[in-house]
Amino acid sequence: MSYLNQRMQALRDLLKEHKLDGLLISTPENRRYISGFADLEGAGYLLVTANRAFLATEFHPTEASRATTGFDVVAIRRDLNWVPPLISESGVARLGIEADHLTVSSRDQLAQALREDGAQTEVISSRGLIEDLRVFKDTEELSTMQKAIDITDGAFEEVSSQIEPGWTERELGWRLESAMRDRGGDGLAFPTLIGSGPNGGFAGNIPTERVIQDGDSIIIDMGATYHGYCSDLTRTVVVGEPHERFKRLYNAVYDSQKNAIEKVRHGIKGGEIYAMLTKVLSDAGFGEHAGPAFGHSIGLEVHEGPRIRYQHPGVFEKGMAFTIEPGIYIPDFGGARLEDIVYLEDTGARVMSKARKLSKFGV
Amino acid sequence: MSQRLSNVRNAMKERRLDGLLISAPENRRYLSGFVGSAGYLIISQRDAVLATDFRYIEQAGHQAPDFRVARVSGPNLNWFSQILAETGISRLGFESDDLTVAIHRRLSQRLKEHNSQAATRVSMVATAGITEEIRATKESEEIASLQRAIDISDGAMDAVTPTIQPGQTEQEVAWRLEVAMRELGAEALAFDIIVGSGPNAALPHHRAGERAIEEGEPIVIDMGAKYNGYCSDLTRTVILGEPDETFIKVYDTVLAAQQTAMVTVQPGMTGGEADNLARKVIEDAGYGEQFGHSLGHGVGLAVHERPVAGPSAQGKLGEGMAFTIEPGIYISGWGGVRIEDIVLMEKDGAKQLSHARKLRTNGG
Repeated sequence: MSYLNQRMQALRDLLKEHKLDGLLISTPENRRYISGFADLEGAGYLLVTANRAFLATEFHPTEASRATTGFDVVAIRRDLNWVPPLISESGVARLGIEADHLTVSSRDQLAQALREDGAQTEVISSRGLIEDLRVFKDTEELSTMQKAIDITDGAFEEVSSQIEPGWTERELGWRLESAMRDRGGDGLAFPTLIGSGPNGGFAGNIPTERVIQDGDSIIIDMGATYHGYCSDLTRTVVVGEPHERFKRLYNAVYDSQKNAIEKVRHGIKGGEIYAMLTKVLSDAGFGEHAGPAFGHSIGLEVHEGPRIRYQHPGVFEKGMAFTIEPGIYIPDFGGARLEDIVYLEDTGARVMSKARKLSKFGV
Repeated sequence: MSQRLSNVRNAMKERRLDGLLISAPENRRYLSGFVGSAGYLIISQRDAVLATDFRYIEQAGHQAPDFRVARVSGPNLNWFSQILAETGISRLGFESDDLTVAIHRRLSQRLKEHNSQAATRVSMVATAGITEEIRATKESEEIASLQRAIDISDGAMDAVTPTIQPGQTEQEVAWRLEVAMRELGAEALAFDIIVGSGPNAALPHHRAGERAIEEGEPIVIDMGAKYNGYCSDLTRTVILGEPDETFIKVYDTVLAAQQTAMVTVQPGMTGGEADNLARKVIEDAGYGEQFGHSLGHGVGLAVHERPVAGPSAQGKLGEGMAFTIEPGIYISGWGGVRIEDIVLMEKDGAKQLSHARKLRTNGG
């Protein structure tokens, strides 16, 4: 059975479990995951029932039919009037919508179209159905993700070996972006973050016009997309000889990440991984400067599924891909973060990111 | 900003709303000046609040001086009922084209609790297009940003088009256009670049694929830059080598349709009347069935916004509105031609803002 058939089967099992006779899928990542078809743009839906599947698109229905199998392609205008006739054929009493994506006006329009059609269909707000499937990566997804990761790793290694004092953060960001695209990346998974010198003293650094100086440490957080899948890599590099305090905090981040990668197992909670990462940082004396968010699942969206945060209840299981990214941020001084994507297997975490990492400093 | 706020307050009065919840990112930016990626505005006749999370508190204070900043925290939405209590709002409009079913449900739930305790009962009312209607008419400051975005895409188009060679893929050309726009100062793309060659040129919403471009076939290039939040949108169609008779006929028809619309459109016409100016030229040439989309759309903070220029569009094209004029002819299997410029409606007609070269060949 192809991976798309397996996803469809898993979705139908889930619908049964939630007592839904059909689901209107509007979230772009979910449409792509279930249909394999990316080019629906703003105006596209999937409608899945127990035994039928429709793909509704405003543009290029012929291409959509050619690119998908198992879907009846419906040419639509922007509205949802096409839904009632299809579901009355299929006898749908309870129709789910994706409440985290569908707008109030689309929902109201759908309800009105159903009323006018005389359909006895109840519209049910559902949340997280396909998202729950997406956190477990199938082999097809893993190989696509690996490609996105390899593109990112390669671009990082190429550009980071050339950094010189005098470059601005923006220049560095643009070179990294170009290198990812040249290596076949479709786009960026998120805007590249660069924090050089004191700008590394907080998480989430939009590149500025700051000029990189000799002795700077630089946090580089970047990711390409490939066929819709995201990568996410952070490395901290140095230009020249860094400050002694930086060496100690980098070593702490290095040890913290290494320890967690060795110890994560099936069934661990996000909060537990966070505690494990933070303990190493605290033991090294950097507890008060530990960042608040140390990882997240990743796939078609750069942040999806469970997170690694303080007391986060989300559980990491076999088959999930996620980042482990401890960081120390000292305002007005600087910081360090290391981030790799791991895939959780029976025996523990397999590291998918391969980009070179600065070794620990002798202090 | 304060003029924008007073415009929106007048629109609220007309709809008997004493409060408005803004969630759409472009509207949030337009009314407050705040460019962060998360937050809500709550506007009453006397008060204006920007609610955002801890990441943006400081930035919000700088960027949105007409608003007081409130901190959003916790899953229980206390901030929401607190602001409602402070502002005394009773009929709160929300943007039904933006707010998701899930967030609306959470806010309504919170309102129920609020109403059981507070002095003023609050109801939520679905609205659509209040701020979008105001945004359709551009201020001079907005036109300056829009013109910068337009100059960037014009420059990139003129630099890259002559260098296209047979054998290059659509994606390669798209990437070089993107690099050129970024190097000219674009902060981002306004949308994914379209490079459609040969049969792909017949698909108005094709993007850019792995197809290698060949001599003698039409190439539709549709792209836009973002500058200061404002989007440009530019389309040119070229051919490598000598154009054949079909291409010349189709190209010249589209160009004539575009010129006709640009020269004759007047303030006060409806979007439908403007559409018909170009459509008639294309119909008279026998290609009516092959012009399957609208003549144009407003551009600004969003690449597609009001006004609409399309068959049966009732809204008027007023002075100060910026919009595209982009007729096209698409012939399945062969290809297509589309030519698009942005114009600004002035007192005596449309002023063309984009000036990229218009040649049948790529001039390379």
